[in-house]
Amino acid sequence: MQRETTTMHDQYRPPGFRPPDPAVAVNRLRRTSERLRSRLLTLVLAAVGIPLLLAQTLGDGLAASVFGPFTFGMLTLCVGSLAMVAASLWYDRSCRTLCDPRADELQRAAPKSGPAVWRRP
Amino acid sequence: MKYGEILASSVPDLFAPLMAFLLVIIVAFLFCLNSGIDNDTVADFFTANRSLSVARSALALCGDYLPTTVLVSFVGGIALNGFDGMMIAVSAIAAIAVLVPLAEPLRNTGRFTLGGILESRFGGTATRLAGTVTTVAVCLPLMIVQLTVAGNVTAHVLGMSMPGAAQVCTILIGLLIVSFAAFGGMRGNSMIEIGKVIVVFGTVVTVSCAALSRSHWDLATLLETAAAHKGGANFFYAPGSVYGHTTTGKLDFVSLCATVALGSAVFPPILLRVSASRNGPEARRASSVAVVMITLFQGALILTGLSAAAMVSTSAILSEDLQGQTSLFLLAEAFTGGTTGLLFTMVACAAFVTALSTVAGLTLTASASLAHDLYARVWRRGAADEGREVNVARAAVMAFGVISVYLAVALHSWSIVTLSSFAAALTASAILPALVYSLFWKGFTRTGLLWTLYGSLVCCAVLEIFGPTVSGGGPLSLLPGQDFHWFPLRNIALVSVPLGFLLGWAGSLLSRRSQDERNRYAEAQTTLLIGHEPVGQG
Repeated sequence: MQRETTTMHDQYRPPGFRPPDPAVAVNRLRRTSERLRSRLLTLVLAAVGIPLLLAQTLGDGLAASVFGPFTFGMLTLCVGSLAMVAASLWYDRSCRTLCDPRADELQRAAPKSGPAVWRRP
Repeated sequence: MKYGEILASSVPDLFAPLMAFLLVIIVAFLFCLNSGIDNDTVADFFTANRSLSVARSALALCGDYLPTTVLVSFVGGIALNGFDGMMIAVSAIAAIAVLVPLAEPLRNTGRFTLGGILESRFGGTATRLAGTVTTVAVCLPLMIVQLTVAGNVTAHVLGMSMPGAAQVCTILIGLLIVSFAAFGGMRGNSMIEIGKVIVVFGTVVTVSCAALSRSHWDLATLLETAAAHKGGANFFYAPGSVYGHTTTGKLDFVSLCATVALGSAVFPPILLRVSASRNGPEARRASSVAVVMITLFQGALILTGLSAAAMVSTSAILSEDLQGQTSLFLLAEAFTGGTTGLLFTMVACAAFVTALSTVAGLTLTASASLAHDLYARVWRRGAADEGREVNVARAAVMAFGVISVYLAVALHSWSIVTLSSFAAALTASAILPALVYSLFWKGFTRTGLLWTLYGSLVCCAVLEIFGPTVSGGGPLSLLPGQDFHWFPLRNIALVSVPLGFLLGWAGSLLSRRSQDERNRYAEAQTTLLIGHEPVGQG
C-alpha cells in the first residue's frame, strides 16, 4: 500500500540534487532498523531476565520489605514492567523518526528505479 | 444423567447471569451479522480488508493476548502462589513486547497465514504445507483447552454440578461460537475482541476497586491481609511456591516464564491480527499501544489475584479446582454473598465473552490456514476463485469447530495442562525460530525451515509425552496412575526453544542456498523494510 505522506524535502531540493542509490539507502535503513530492534530486545530480555535471575539467586531475599508491605520482589517486577512499556514506546518513536521517513522516500522511488535495483542483496 | 435432562433441569437464582449471557450472545451475533455482509473476498473474510485502525488493532491485539486461560488461571495463580504468579503475569507482558519488533515486518510481508509468511521467503508448496501443519498442531490443542475451560466455567457460573453438565455447556458454547466465526470473519471477530477487552478490563478494575474499598482504599492493608492468609509475607512474597526450591523446580519455573513470554508472542491468531492493520508502521504502533494496555491489565489482574488471596481461603480455592481457576468467581461470590449479585454477573459475563472471542479467533486462524494455504495454494495451486475460497473457509470453520468440540467433550475428564503446555511450547519452539530466521537471517534455507518446523513438532511431542505432565506428575498428569517419564521438566520450552533454533541453523548450514532463495531474500528484505504489497493475495 502506498503511503500518502509528503516531506518538505520534496519541495525544497537544491539544484543538481541526486537521490541516493536505492540499494545503499535500503542497506542504511536495514542497519538502522536492526540496531533499534536489537536494543529493544536487549531491554525486554533484561526487564524479564533480571527479576527471574534474582528470583533464582536471592530466593527469600525478594520477600524483604522495602517500604511497608511492599517487597523487593514487587519492586523489581514493577521496574521490569515499566521498563518494557518505556522500551516499546521508545522503539515506536525511534522507528517513526528514523525509519519511516526513509521508508517513505524509498517507496516513492521504487517504481522509478525498477525491480532490478531492489533485487540487490 | 442424560444431556437432555441436564438441559431441562432448573437451577435457582440464575436470572441475572442467564440474562447477561443472552445479552452477550445477541450483541455478538448482531456484530457478526453486520460484519459478515461485507465478507465477499478472501481479504475481507480473513483480514477485514486490512482496514483496522491503530486503536482498533491495539484493542483487538490486547484481546488476543487475554484468552480464557489467562483470565481464570492468572488470578488463581497469584492467589495461590503470590510472587511466582506475579512473575508469570510479567512474563505475559514480555510476550507482547517481543511482538513489537516483529509486527511491522510481519505486516509488510502482506501475508496473513504462517504458511504465507514463510512462503514469501521460500517458494513451493512444502512451505505452505509445513505452515498449515504447525498452525493446526497449535490451534487444535488450544481450542480443546479453551472449550473445556469455557464449559467448566459456564457450568460453575450456572451452578450446574451434575455429571455431564460441563460437557453440555461445552457443546452449546462451542457450536455457538463456531457459527459466529463462520458468519463474522475477521471483522466480526475484531469487534467481539474489542468488546471483550472493554468488558473484561471494566470487570477486573471493578473487582479490584471493590477489594480495595474493603481494605479502606489502602493497598498496604490489602497486601498484608493477603500475606497473612497465605502463611506470611516471607512465604507468600518469596519465589518457589509453584515448583519448589530444588534445581529442577527452579529450571521448571524459568522454563514456564520462557513458555509464556515466547510462546504467546507469535500465536497464529496474532499473525492474522497483525495482518489486518492498514500498514506496517500502524501494526508496530498498535502493538506498542497494546503493550501499555496489557501492562495496565496485568496490573489490575495482579491486584485481583491478591484480593482473592486476601478474601478467599486457600482451602476454598483448592476444593473447587487444584489450579485455582475458579478464584475470580469465588472472589465475586465473596463480595455479593452468592451468585445473584451484579459483580458476579459481570465476572460471569467477562468469562463468557472471553471464551467466545478466543475460540472464534482460533477457529478463524485454523480455517485461514486450511482454506487459503492447503486448499487454494497447495491443492488448487492458486487456481481457486475468491468466492469459492471464502465458502471453503466457512466450511473449514465449521469442520474444525465441530471436531474441536467433539474432542473437547471426549477429553473432558482428562487433564488439559498437557495440551496447553504443548501448544505454547510448540509456538515458541517452531513458529518463533522459523519467523525470526526467515525474516532476518540471510543464510536461512528451505531445509532449515522444514527442520525447524517438523523437528520442533517431533521434539515437543516426545518431550511432552515423556515428561511429568503426561505421567508421574501427580493428580494433574494426563495419566495419573502411570509413570514412564524420563524428562524432568513440566515445561519443555527451556530445551525445545534452543533446539528449534539449533535445528534451523544446522539445516541451513548443511544445505545449499539456491539462486531463487537468494533472489527471494533480497526481495523479501526490501519488502519487509518499505512495505511493498506483493503481487496477488497473500
